[in-house]
Amino acid sequence: MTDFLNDWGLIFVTFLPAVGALVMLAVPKEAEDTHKALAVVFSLAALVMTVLLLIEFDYDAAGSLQFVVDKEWIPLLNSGFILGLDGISLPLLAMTALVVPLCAVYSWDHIPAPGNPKAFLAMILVLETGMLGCFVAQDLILFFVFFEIVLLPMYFLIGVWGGPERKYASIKFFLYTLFGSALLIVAFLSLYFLSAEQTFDMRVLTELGGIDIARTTQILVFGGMFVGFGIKVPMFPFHTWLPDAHTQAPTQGSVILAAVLLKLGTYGFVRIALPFLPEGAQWWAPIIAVLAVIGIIYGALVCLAQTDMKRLIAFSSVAHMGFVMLGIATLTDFGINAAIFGMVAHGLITGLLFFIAGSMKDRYHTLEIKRLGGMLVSAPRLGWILGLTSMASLGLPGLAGFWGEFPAILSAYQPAEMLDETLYRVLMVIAALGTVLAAGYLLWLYQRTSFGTPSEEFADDPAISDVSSVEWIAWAPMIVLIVVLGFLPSIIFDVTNPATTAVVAAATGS
Amino acid sequence: MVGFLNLPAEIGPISFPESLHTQFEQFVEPVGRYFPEISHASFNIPLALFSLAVAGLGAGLTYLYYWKGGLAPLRNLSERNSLAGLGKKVLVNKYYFDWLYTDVITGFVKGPLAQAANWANTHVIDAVVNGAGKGAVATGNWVYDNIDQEVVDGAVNATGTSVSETGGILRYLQSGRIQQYTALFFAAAALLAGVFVLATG
Repeated sequence: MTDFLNDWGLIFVTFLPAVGALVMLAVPKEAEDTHKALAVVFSLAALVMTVLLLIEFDYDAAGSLQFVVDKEWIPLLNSGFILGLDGISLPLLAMTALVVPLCAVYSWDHIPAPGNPKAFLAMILVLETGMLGCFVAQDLILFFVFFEIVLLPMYFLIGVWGGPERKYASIKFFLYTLFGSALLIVAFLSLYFLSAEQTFDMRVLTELGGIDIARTTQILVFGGMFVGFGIKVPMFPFHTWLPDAHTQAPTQGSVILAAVLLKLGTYGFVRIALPFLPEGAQWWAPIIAVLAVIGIIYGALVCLAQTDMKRLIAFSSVAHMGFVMLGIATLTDFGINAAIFGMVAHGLITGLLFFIAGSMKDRYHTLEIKRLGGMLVSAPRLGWILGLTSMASLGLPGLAGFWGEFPAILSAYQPAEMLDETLYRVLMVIAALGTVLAAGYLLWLYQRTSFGTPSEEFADDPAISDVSSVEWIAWAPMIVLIVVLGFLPSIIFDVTNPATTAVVAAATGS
Repeated sequence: MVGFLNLPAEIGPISFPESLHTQFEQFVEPVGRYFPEISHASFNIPLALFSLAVAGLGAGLTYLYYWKGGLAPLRNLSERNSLAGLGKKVLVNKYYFDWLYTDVITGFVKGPLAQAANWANTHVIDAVVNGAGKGAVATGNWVYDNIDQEVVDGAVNATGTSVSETGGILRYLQSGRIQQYTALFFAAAALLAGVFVLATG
């Protein structure tokens, strides 16, 4: 088994969903239940492979790449098919492998209009291959290919199965992120031509640590990556594609977007930008930190002004990802550990919030906050799950969100040596105020949607039912993980720490 | 109660049992390895006595006023004295802290400030993005109308027109006789050969 996993584990995990999509192509469109079953089976197969990898993973060597696959791919470009897994990519790979089958299960009785489960679920499986590939790719061109693969299925998910403004939202999402990708590929090519080895091999580029690249050049190339990854995160002020995409996307699209897609940006910073261009990272870090904190406060303030529940959750992502970016911008192992935990916590919590919002939309046919209310009376279990998730999102200790926010704020107290301590401490205080605002908008949302008695409009509506069994199956793993990670954060910190230490050593030379 | 349980280990000659002192301080001590060393103020006997005296005075005055019905000059003072009335109003409104928190701070943040941020998001930041998109479309239209259709396609059309015109002139050379074409072909070949010899020779 070990040999099999070493040779094939990551290939199977990455491409099983794509194989599932190909199998679905051979099945007639009318066999809707078969398509739903195939999506669940193939995404679950990827999850099972991931679990086997988690079992075989050497946690004592979490700082090193494991299950490495290194094959010739495009010799003309000097680009290899290189995959590998370490402590940074492992939690994100696991989260992705978990979230997609949950979306597939949820789709069993939640296929959005205009239907066509075959195309809808095939898109999700292709999307999964792109996302999983990003987290295991160890070659820049391969990473870029996976990074771009995710665009198209998500474009179709929003554009075909989205809300009334889906055309505007889908094209905005596609063009905005493609603009960032253009800068990314230029940055990657610059790295190739400027580095002594002329390679796209991320292992070699990490070892080189930008040693052959002049400081000014590093700053410029990092700028390209900053925009490319910053749009994906999304960082203030590159965030405006996100609320439109989230509001218009079908529930499953919103869940995947929040849980995984945004993490491709933050992961890119940690995996690529920081270790490859350390001097560029040191120059950009204060700018990133300031923008991250602006995002925290700004996102929270805009949340308070929202009238649509889904749009509010979308803007809360801007604020939460601000905490992640603040942790990264400290250039410390403490901050980057917090950032990775924040990515996982946000993925689970906001993913679940979007699931709940989707189910509420199915019942109420609206997410206009002022029309909702009394959910604890009409659908008490749904109300309680929304309550728990809101508490987790606002960073309540004992739930996963706390460990994403609190250590990120704390890490700003003492950033890396070369950074301005005073600036970061000021940012720490402002970021901490953001948690108060988060409590404000989330509790206010919860109060307006769940407290009181149901409005006259929905008081006797038979459609307002409680959590269905399919919803329980899809949501239970997320609920359990939110609680378990809240009490046992070391499950993730112990895995990420050795790997982030290596990243910080490369980024700061310490 | 907390103050009582946080008695120091000793005050002058009096020592307190361990169960009575420093019960809570360890909970507020920072344990993060990044935190610098924190120094604590030492126990200040006069300050502690003064604080206790103020608290005791408050308790005593309350006892006299409410239980014993004493301090008659203070009764209805707020109705007779405007300054006392103002003081009472401040106390009744709990120092206006609730008003400050609820109406001023929270009301401002979730009202005008949040609306302003949302307005800026829609009308400034997102407007820049939409403006960039509209600008790109407008540029595309301009390039299509003025460069592609006028210049590039114009050049192609001009070439086509000139070829057509030339063909119109050349058609007079067409006679349909093979011999004439052969003669023209060889004449042109001979001319080209001459040019070639002159150029290379």
